[in-house]
Amino acid sequence: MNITRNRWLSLVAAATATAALAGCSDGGAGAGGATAEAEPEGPVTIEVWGWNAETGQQYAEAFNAAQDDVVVEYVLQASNTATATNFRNAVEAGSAVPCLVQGFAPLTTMVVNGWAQDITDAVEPSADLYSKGALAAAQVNERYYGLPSGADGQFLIVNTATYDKFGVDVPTTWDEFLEAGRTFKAGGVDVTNLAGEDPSTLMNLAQQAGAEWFAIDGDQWKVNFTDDATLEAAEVVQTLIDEDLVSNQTYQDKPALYSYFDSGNMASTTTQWWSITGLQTNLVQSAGDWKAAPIPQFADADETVTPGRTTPSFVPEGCENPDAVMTFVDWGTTAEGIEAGRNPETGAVGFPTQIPDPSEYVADVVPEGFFTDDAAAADVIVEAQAATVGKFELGPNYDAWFPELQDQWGKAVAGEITVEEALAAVQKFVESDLESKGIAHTS
Amino acid sequence: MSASTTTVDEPGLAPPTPGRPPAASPPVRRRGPRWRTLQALKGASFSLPFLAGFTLFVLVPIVMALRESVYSTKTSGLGFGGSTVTFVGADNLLRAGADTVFWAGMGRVGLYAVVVVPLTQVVSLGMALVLDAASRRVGARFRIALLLPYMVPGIVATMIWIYLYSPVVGPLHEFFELFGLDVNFYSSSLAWVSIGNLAVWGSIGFNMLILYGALQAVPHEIFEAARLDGASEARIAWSIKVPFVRGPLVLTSLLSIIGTLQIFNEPLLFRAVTPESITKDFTPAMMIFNQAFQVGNVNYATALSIVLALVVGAGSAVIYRFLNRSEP
Amino acid sequence: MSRAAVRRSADEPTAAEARGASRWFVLAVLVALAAYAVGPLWWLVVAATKSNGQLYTTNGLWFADFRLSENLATLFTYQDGIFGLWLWNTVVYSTLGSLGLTAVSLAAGYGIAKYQYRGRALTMGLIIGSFLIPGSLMIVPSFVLFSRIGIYDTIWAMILPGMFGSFSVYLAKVYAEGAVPSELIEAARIDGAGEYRIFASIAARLMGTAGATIFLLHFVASWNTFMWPLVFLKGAEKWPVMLGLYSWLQRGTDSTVDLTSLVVTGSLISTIPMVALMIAMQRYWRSGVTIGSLK
Repeated sequence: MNITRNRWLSLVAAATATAALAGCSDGGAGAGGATAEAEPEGPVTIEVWGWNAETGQQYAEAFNAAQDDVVVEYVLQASNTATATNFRNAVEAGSAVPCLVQGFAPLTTMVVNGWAQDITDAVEPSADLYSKGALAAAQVNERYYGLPSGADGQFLIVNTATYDKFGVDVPTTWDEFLEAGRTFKAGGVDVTNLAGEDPSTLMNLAQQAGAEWFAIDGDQWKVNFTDDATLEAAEVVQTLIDEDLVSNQTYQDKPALYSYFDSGNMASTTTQWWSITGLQTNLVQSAGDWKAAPIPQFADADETVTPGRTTPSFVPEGCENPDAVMTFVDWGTTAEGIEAGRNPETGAVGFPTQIPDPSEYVADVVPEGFFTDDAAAADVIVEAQAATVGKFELGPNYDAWFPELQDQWGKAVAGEITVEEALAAVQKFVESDLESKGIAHTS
Repeated sequence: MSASTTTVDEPGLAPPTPGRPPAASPPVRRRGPRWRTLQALKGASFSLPFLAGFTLFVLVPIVMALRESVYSTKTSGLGFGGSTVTFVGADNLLRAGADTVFWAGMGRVGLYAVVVVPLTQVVSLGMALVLDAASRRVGARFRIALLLPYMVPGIVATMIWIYLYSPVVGPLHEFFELFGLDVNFYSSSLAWVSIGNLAVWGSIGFNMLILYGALQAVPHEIFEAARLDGASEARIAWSIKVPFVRGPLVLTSLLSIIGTLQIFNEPLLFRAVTPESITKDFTPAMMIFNQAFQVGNVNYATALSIVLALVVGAGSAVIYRFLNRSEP
Repeated sequence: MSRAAVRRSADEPTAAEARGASRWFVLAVLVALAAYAVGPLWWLVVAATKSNGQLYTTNGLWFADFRLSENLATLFTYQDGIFGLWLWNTVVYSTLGSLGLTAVSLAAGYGIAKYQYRGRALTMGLIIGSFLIPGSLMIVPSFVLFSRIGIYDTIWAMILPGMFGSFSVYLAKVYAEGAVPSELIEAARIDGAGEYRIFASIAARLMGTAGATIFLLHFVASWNTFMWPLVFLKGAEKWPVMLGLYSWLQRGTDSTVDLTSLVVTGSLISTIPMVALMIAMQRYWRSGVTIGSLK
């Protein structure tokens, strides 16, 4: 059960850095002119901000060489947090903003802060190039404010040595997962790990169960952290905690975490494609024992659903060339564009999760010697991607309530309160925060 | 803080001798008031470069920041329509002054500071004194060794201590097991001990260097005289050297109390390890960070900062009076 | 006791040399303290010799396959050898900033300690008051300010703001009080020396330890900072080494590439210049305050 990427980043950044005080923008009124030079003839120049140190620059150069209409200047940022800080500052100071920014927070946050512009007209003509999930993730209130962006679909990896030893079949539903956990517990093995600092497990389960924590209801937000779907998800987590079927290893202590993953005492965990390389590097004993399987489903689900969220890139208010941005982004779905993102160090291309069928690239993200069966694992990854929901509305004040969810989750995992009580506390927090910000809401 | 300005004639080169004429005042010879004015002007001019830069790079941003505290930012509807800024006067400050979550955090760090600040100072001063008492060659070697933790970048110090503390793979846990003790540095009950050790380890070298530098100016003839009178080394250290470095000690104590009350990085690290007890508002600085960076309420974060600065200022003033009181 | 007699020459036996018993005590305490300070760094040294695969999976306190040279080679060639450039940038930023700060602080500290004038109390009040400002509060307004005065994204954003540290002025002031005897200044005046000349040729020299302390502390702090350059510099070719290492560390949490072993090796390498500087500056802590020779 892997921590959300963005959250993890800010956590690490904050732990190691003096905090940057980042201001809330006044609606981007001072965002100033776009970086793009609107010359009638010759190519349009756009500035792109991101933190892809490996391939960001080479990709931009390949794109510039491949066509004559748009010139991209890639400005490398130190990290996700650095991008957020620098972008907020640029808006605050009224200096020039770039034309495309790698998504550093959920899309709705960008819209509420007045940063992301409505690019529906630019996106719609290219809609065919992208998967349904990627298109869903790019929308807020049924308009495109973000670039289509693939969510990393979750799947399960199981340690076959442990499963075989206990004679347990790989669970296909969460009930079976709990049942497996009970069998493992008798032998002193945990079915999975729940890190106390990382509530993404709960968010994923809720998303998969069909929860709607935030929905737009006319001109107000409908907030409900305790709807039936969420409670169904909470029940799974509560059982894991109450019956002591899990461990609570922190992600901070990596040597301990990996040695635990590697020991055979953790039977399974949920993960996504980009984590596999790291696991392959650090799981020495158990390498070759792992098998990928679709994520367990809720028993009453009509169709297979994979949780997975993403933070789409966006075009800031003030940029005058969203069409040029689309040209750049669309190129990333072509074979040539995907090839341009091949990492010179690892020799692998990035997994193009935004396109409808990424199956021909999946071999690149399955490292050798980790899975019992690489081809089967590749299939699981592609299927997970195909069934990814993509959209999970996190509301207009995600940055404010996520730390509260972390606090409450930590208490719930430690058994001090129930998961349901934790969710009720977050609900209360969200309502009072929206109140103080003057945002209309109902529950 | 005008008391600070009277120290000119306090620690001179000799141990403070009551009745010594103020060193800075020039002897009354042939020099008229014009000369004095000119000399004062020249004296003041030494600070000019500093004051000019300080005004531009410190005062101007502070004023810009403080302005935030009297405004409030609101949006409406779904929140998509942009926000309006209104003048609210002292509302934010009053709310901050009555914020129980904030004061609970303040209480926690206050208690922690009472233990850690004196500890850091005593250890640093001890280090400096021992270093000063060692032979020059030995002193030089150890000086570098003791300063090393300060040179290690924070991101790496974090990695090191996470490993050392780890109840699974870390050596400290094993070490205490030798004595039959099950010590878990990640547990809630030991969180403050773990945080404190991390903070002390990182800052003693810094304090030591400042105090040690000041000790270098103590004239050795005084020790020789004291030794001839039969004073022990410990007595010399306590009665001659310590009074001599009172000024620097005040400075390091001030910095230490300010740094401790604003503690942020160390508890944040342990937030991941013991999330059930170290919440997002665990210390005042964490709460300010959360308000500014996560909640996005810069106005309130600034108000909280002002309250924190006032409390830290009061604490510093107490320490300052205590350490800087005149000799009995 | 005459001021002129106050001296501490380099070859005079110190306290410990004079007394055998306490020398062993002093040494024992020093060893214990040094073990506490340096012991944890053993992990860093060991970790710098390991590959990424063995960093987390082998005993942290002992060597596995010794791969220091491979790590070094990767460190200096990764991303076209940008690590070397980062090191150089850091040397430039830290050296110029620390030199400027030292000069500004010594002058201000000396003036405050040794002269009576109106506004002196106010200056001290400002200095102490500024200690209380939480640093995070300054970042956004500083960004706006730097953009306006045109030093955003230039080398000056790294050097200038650090030159006016109030802490260093305070430090210079207390050192000046201890190290510069007023009688000496008075004597120089009687000899006809001007105020500025007294500072430049007498006081500044007596404040050598203060200057060295200020220089070193700021050099180290500026060497290790990454939040400031993160906000005020754009583009990796201007970054100092710690921001670069931070960005590498972040890669591991967000892509398939884990650069943690490079970060560890890079950190070890980046502390070497600081240790070298400390060794090079040893003489400033040798209290050769030969006051007698000045008069």
